[in-house]
Amino acid sequence: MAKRTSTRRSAARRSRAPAKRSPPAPAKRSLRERIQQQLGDTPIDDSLAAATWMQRALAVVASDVVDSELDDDKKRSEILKIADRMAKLRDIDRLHQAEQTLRGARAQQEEARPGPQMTDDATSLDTAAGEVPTRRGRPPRRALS
Amino acid sequence: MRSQLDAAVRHDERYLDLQIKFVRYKSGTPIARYGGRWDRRAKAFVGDASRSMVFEIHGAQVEAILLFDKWLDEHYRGPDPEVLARVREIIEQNLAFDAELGALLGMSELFLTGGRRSGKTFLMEAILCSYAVAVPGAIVWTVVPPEKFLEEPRKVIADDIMPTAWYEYNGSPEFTFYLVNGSQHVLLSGHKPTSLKKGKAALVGLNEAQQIRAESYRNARGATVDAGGFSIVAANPPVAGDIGTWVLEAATQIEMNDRPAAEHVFVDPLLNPHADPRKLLALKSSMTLHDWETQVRGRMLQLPDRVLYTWDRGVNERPAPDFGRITREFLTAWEGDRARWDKLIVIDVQRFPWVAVGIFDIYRDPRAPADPKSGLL
Repeated sequence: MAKRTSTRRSAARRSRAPAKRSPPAPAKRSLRERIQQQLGDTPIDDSLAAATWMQRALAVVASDVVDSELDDDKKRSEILKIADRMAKLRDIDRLHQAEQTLRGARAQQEEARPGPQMTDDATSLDTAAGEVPTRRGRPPRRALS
Repeated sequence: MRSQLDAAVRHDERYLDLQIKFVRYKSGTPIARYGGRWDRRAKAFVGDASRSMVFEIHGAQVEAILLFDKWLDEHYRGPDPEVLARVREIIEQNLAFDAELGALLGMSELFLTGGRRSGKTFLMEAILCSYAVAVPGAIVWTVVPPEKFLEEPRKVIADDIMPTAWYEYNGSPEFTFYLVNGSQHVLLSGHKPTSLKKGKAALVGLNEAQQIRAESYRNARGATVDAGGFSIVAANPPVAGDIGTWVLEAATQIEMNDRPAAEHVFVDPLLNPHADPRKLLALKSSMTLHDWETQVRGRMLQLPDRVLYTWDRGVNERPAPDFGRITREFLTAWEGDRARWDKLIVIDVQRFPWVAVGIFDIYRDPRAPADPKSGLL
């Protein structure tokens, strides 16, 4: 009897168990996936657009930090780090350098410009006021004391 | 691919004409010549070149090239030991500068000011490139406001001054012209003053210096000390909003003989044969008088938010007369001794442009030196 009961319970447990559990929660997506969903892929052919994309991605990270369960001091510290990185992205020299790097790579693929042309210099440099010397060479290294 | 092949051919040639010549516009009279025939194998000049980059220069540009040529001649000869001893003594004893000492110091600053299209940038780059060409292994800098200003000097150098056979240019992030004789012409941003503390250069040129901080200029000048070089400042007169108002102060100091070892050359756009004066005049109707005088004519005037907006310190200020200052005696004679009179203050209350206040001193009248009620304002 006991055995039967036990068997019955066991069977019931097996059949009811799935019904008692809540439906499985969807797996939390990674930060990378969420950023890609919100902002799209990182622009790789336009450095200025890439810098803007990075700033928006940092804003997503910042909102994560705000919603997190970190204590206030830790949150503040993390937000300051993010703000610092955003400020670096806005630095005019860095932005310009990124753009120049891209332009430099393009320019190297283009035909080189001829540059200015030299002219024959057969004319004498002796003028009425006297000869105009040609200056060239390294200045002598002298001890100053 | 083609440019690589060209470069390979260039590097196979043993000799290269590496020479710059300056001549007067129209007359063609030679002014100066730098460089020569460069031997890649011996890494040395072997006489004059048969071809040159020839630049025709006008009016004030000639004056600047002659100043550079004189400085380079002295640079090759080296400093006089007696002068060095005298300078050390002045530094140790903290003695004041005088005109005699200023003449002994040589040139350590060259200010090129003028209006738009006067040819300042070309002139500055031509001097920097001439030094880099003449002195193998030299380093020269062009400093600009933020990096976005690098394009103008790069174009001037690559399109107008140096043939492509003379250099390799690597673009970002070094922005350096590597010359065949081992010299380097580096383009730098002056946006962050601290970035100019590193490195040495024989010559340093600041383009659009009215938009560069004084701290950046101070740091850039420091780079020239070891080589005994000098700095070149190419600038428009500063206007409201420019951070480089030090240019105005410096140019005024030079005009008043109060800045030893500095030279100021005014490059007049009207003398630039490549600028159409009709187009310059056409700008006038769309400008304020101050903008016209400063940005086109190139006059170093005070900033326009001042009452005395056409005051030119170099023209309108002179040293005080040596007759003796009697401000207190004069005012006491007229007003009594109720107060300690130090200055005479004059106020001109006007609706436009603003209320003007002048602080005056009284000097003894040489025609009546004993009369305290008589004086010169």
